[in-house]
Amino acid sequence: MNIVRRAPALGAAEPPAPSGAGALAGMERSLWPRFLVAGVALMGAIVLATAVGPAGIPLDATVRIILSRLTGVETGDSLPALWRDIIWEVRLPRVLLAGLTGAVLAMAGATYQGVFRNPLADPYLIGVATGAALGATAVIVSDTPHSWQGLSVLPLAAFGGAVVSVLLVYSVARVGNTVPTTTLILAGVAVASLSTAITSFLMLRSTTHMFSVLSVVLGSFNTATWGELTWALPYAVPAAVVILAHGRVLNVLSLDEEQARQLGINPERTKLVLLGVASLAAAAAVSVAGTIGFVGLIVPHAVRLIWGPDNRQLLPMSILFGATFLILADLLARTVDQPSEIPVGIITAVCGVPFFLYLLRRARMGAYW
Amino acid sequence: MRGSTVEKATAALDARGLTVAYGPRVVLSDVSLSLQPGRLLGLVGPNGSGKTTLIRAISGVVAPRAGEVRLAGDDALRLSAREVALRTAVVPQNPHLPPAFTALELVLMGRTPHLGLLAAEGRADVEASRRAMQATDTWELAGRRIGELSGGERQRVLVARALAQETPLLLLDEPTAHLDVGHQAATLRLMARLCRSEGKAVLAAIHDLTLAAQFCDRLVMLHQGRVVAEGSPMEVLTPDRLREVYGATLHVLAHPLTGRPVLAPDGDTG
Amino acid sequence: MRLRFLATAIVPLVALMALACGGGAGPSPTPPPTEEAAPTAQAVGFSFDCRAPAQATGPDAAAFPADVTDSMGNTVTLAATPQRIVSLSAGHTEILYALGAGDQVTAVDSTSDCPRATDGLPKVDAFTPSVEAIADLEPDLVIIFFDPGDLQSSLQGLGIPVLNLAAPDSVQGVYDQTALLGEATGHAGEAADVIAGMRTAVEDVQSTLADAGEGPRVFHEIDSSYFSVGSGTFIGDMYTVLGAKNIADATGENYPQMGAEAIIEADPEVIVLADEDAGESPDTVKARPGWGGVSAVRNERIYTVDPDIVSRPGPRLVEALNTLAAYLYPELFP
Repeated sequence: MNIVRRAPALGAAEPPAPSGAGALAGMERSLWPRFLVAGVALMGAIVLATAVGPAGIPLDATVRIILSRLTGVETGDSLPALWRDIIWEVRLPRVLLAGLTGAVLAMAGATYQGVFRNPLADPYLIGVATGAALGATAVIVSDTPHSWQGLSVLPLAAFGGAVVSVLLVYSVARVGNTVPTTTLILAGVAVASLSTAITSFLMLRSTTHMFSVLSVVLGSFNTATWGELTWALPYAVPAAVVILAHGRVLNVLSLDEEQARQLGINPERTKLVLLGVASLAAAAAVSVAGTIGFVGLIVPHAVRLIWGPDNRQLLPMSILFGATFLILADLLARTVDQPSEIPVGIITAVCGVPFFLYLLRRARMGAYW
Repeated sequence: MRGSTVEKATAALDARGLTVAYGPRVVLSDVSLSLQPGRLLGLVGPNGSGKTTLIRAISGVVAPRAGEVRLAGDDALRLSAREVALRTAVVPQNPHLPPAFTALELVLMGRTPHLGLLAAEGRADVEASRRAMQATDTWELAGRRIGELSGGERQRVLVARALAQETPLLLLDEPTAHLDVGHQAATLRLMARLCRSEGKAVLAAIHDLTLAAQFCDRLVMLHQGRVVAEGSPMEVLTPDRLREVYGATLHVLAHPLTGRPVLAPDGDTG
Repeated sequence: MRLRFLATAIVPLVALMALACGGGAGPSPTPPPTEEAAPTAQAVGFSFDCRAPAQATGPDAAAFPADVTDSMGNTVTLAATPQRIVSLSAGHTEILYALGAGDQVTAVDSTSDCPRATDGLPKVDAFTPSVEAIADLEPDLVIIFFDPGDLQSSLQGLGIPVLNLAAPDSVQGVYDQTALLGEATGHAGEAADVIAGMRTAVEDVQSTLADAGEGPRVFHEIDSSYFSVGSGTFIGDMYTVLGAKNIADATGENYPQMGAEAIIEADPEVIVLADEDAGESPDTVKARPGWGGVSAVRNERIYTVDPDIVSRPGPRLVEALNTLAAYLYPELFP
């Protein structure tokens, strides 16, 4: 049984808060209907994004191609090979990768906001983005071949940069056995500034690579492949499992660490576990997608605005909405100015921010944070 | 009654020689106290005397530099956070509370030590919360958001949370600070009743000495991190001691019905 | 903190991108009319080899004083023949040497690596230049192709003439700037020869193509995230001269990032790789998932080209043109 609230924050006039037994009756509600709705929206976005693109492939052809690949039954062989290649090798992995990235970033953002008890926290707070950008830039400007024995070097370098950056932040902030959250944030800012400075220096020294670096910094799914998807999955899925299991614990942690301990939670260990898996998953996402902003910050807030702060629903809903949002943003990125691409980070900012400001105007801060 | 076969009841709380320091600053020095089940112990002392730190040390939030804490006979330092939370619940003084959670959601968090990682609250948990909220006169606030509650309402919700935790020991840090006169008495009356009827042990840091004197069985007075007095309210609250510890001249009167000390400030209005 | 990162990274990036690729940042150049000297031009087999020793010729002192107008519309008065030229543009360095003005060049920027004669020269940074370092070389003419911020005005404030010549965005643009540099260095005659030589070489290529019929669809890749060039760029103009159909023209942009899907759908018959990094090769392109059905991949018509010869508009355009022509029309240019 879950004690969850109705969607209270957006109504023009809020109904009077139920009291006593009424409160209980009004608040007992299953989470599954909203998960279902969000899931259906996600499916819809996947279908839409797979069906639409510069190549103008009709919907029934798309469906037949996907079905024939999935079931092994050849219903698509009368269709042009070009279409099959585009749908299965280019569009579908791209859509799924955008979905995975959006899910991971939103989930990590919600986790960071809960652990740091700070509404401005996003998954890049302790150095994932700047570290990944530095790792990728270092490889790009050093003229290292991007492929080494069949392995793609760039995502590995970005991932390594992100992990090193987070570890550095953690070791700087650590005091004995504890990692005070304020110190963590400050250390994160410091290390991020350092990474940015080095990255900028490398870019200026080697201006011929600026397009590549820009792609990494602003994010792009243009070169998405099944390989990149399978690279990121082993980091994303276990992280999601661990984080989702900690929904109730994250609620308690968002009080403060003293109360969390007094309620039976070990705050240091919990922080370490949650930040660790969230950072790993975010690093993996950033290494294949580039540093896409606003998703990790805004999606959790939007979910909170509508459904409240309980992490047991905030985390799964952020995952579903993050995926949907980024799939649709990427759809715009590749169709609005077709046949050329707009970096998806620009789309997330342009679309995400006004929508969020609108939501914010309809709700009061204390009502949802 | 044959003394040799009487078993001494295990103290709910037994602190010995507690010394707590934050860096070079020693906040508690060689503090010892013990609390039996069914007793309401008042912790009094001026601001900065170490009351909050003592509660933190007992609940495991800060590690003492020296001394030990035993909860129902077990060494608290060897217990996990969850085990400590099953033995003692805390009502903190000024906790950070996210304003968007409802009162009921907050009280349900008191059930955390009873729930495993993946478990959700069940009927029993909701029942425990409801009882706790009814006892603190906050059940009517169940659906309201914390951010909308007054200071006093919030404080009573925090007491409910501690009650919902269903622990044998309760530690309260200034539980009446924001409450009006009526609710102050009601809260302490509730504590006293829990001690008598359910055998809970309660340690309450109380600002208001008269209030403490009315409801607590015994008082412990802290001054600059040390225990300077321990005993019945009448034994502890003497004018000399009060002058020495609080630097104030107070008159100690007797309550007309109970005889317990009632303090009045000096009549000199300056 | 994210904003700070974006600000420090994006602003220089975007600025550099807009300017460094010379996408018409300033007003259209108003060059002096090309001198149509009497046909003394040596038209046969014009070439410019980086490895060949530079052959300098004496400048024509009688041409000075001269007024020269650069791409920004600034007119610079050169009182005497410039003998200490500092070039902060790789393409223009090549033009200077092609004109025989090599002896008049004192220093170049770190990207000017052609011809070999520049190896021993002092190097200056073009993207983050130090006004002091440049002034210390006591130049009497500085040539830049983009101004990172007040460089031109700072140097002119020190009495040093500066010509800001936007990198040419067409073949004709190369002719025009060659003529302009000829004026500025006292090599107007050589400039005419070089221009005539380039023109003839280009016309030769075009006449060979006259019987080719329709040109192939081409995708010119300048970055492994599928950035390409449009017809408004120097490279794009070369493809236009060669009669090829650049699939990036569908975007209408000069430096678009093409969607993977759009490239596959456009089905280029030739792919030219000019990625600045060592990463991309015909093999990596063939391995890209979904690209297997593209004509260029099926017919193994994926070629790499030295990015320098296509992105430095200058005397090597003949080499670039011939190279690209051979890729596009292998049967006509064996």
